[in-house]
Amino acid sequence: MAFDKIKETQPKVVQLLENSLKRDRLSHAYLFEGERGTKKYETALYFAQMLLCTGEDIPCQKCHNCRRIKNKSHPNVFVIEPIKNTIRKQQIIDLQKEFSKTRIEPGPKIYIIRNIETINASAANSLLKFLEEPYPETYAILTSANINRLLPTIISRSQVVQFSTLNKRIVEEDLSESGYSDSLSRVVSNLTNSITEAVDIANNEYFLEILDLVKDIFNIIATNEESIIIYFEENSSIIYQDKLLSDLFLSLLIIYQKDIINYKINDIENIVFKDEMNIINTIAMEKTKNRLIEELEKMLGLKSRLNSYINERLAYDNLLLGLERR
Amino acid sequence: MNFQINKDILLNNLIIAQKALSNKTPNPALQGIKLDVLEDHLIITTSNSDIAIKLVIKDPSLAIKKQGSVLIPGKYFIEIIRKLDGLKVVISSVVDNMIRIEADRSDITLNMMDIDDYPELEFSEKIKSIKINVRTLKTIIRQTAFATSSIENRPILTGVNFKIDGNKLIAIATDSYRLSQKQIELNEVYEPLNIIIPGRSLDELIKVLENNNEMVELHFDNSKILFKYRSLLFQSRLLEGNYPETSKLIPTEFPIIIKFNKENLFTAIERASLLSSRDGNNAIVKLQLRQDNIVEITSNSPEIGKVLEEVYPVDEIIGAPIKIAFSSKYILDALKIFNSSEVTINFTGEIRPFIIKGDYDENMLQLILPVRTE
Repeated sequence: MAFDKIKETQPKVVQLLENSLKRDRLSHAYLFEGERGTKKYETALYFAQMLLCTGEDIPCQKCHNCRRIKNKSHPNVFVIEPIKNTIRKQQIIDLQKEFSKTRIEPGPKIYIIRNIETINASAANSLLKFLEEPYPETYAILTSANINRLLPTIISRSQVVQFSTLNKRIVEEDLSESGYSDSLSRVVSNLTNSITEAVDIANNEYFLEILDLVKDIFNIIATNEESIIIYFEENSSIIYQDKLLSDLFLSLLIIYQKDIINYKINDIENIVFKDEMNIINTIAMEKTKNRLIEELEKMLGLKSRLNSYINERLAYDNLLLGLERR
Repeated sequence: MNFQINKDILLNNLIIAQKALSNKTPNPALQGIKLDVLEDHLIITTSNSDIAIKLVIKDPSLAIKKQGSVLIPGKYFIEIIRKLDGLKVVISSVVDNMIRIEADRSDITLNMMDIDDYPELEFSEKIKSIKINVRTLKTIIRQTAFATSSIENRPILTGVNFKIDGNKLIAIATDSYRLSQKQIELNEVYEPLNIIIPGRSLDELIKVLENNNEMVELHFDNSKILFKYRSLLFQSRLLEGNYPETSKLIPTEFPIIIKFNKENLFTAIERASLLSSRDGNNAIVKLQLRQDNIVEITSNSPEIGKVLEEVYPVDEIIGAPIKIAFSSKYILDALKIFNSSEVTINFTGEIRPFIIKGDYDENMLQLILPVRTE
């Protein structure tokens, strides 16, 4: 894990944490909020090292505590990750059980809950009580890519730390330099902020196929020559293979829809699908601004529901019929 | 690392150490047994994060050629040593992070674990420790730990509260429906102390202590307790928080006092609990003191049948007739731990807690809350 890069990518966050530690004004619960790939989890571990490091240049990365936090084997640091996309009540109960006992090694105890937005209702209620009555010398770090999906009561009980979005240009330039086409780099850089993740997406064997599917869908909407449902039924089988691909498809659909809205409001600079200008133009002329925004809202709504158990086929058909409607 | 030792001595120590070995733990390093080979002795360490055991082995059969520390997968190591032939075993570390076990005609190599991931367990002994006879300590635990709560909703009630006040040690356990309290006198006066030890840790401690009159040293600090017995160090984490104040729960005046033969009362309640409307652990039985001074134990389950047991008190009864209902499990649990053959039940009212005491169980009391039946 590239701990040395945290200071470069998130200088403000590191500064904030360092100052709180220096002035002895630490909060008992932090909520690290920022887009995917902004190194929230790495920073959480870095913070744990700052609290437990026994070396001189905190965090030294050399002492036994720092090394074990990096290996995730320090007994005072607990990490909870979603199991099958959900944080369950049992995980919170186990955490409470663990924290009801005194520490194993000297120093504070720290728990990190990743992707806190995936917590289910009963687990959230248990966690709230736990956040409310912290034991002495324990710190909580919650990370989330989508603060809007959190219970307001969880947000109000923690100090929110904003992680700045990595510059899209950096990802885009990196990809172009690695030999990907300009238009592809531009699209991928809008999907993620992490360079490694971007390369993964660009190398995914189904990515180009899904990209074409999205372009075709808007092409059909623009020309209105055939039924979109029938076309989608015939060509969409790849996106059901994996939740990841389904998510990718919807993300691309959203980017395209945003492009149309950007065109409508004359923000040509921010359009991602630059080589699709003709189609974007046709659709933008045909639909009102309000309708375009309504459609975008539906897509975003579906994206947050995608992690739950829904009938994806029906949900997509419903969405596309809405786009096609004259 | 390279040493030779008598196989049975090593095995006996490993079996004790196994008590603290964890098979399900978030930290895989805790599945290992840590061996530290020092100049003239061997140290075995195991931990499941709640408890930790450290054994110091100084034995004439121990011959150390080279010092060192290793972390060995616990389950395999113990099974291998258990199954080995021969009197002696030679254990050495070899290249590529392997450990070699030689005995008789066996030659076994085992992959080691990364010792760097093992927690730093302190086992720090204090200058002043509390000394208690092993037998007494085991009695305290046996008479209190059973009353701890087994559900984790209120973690603090899963522990036994140990309080020291002058030269008195008081142990209290409750699951909020019953309470067990035991008090002993210590040889010296100690600093006041108030800690909560997880009940499960104490259950494990009993298993590793022998029954004799030697002394156990108790070393406290604010995050752990260490029991030292011969060459065994047994450390447990504590429960965080303040134990509920229980002294106000215990009534002081008892208008009704009845003395029973423990055995008679026990069997009568046991029989009555068989036909209770609620099954198993929740069986409710009723106790009624009649005008003619005979005690009736009854239970009634319309679908199955009913039981009526008469029990004759062994002494003169103080107070008026009473009718009270309670959980048979709680009272049977409580009666089991009395050494006295006669027990006194002190009632304060039909819906008020009652306490049980025994003549030969000084400074121990059992409190049980009745249930409402109407």
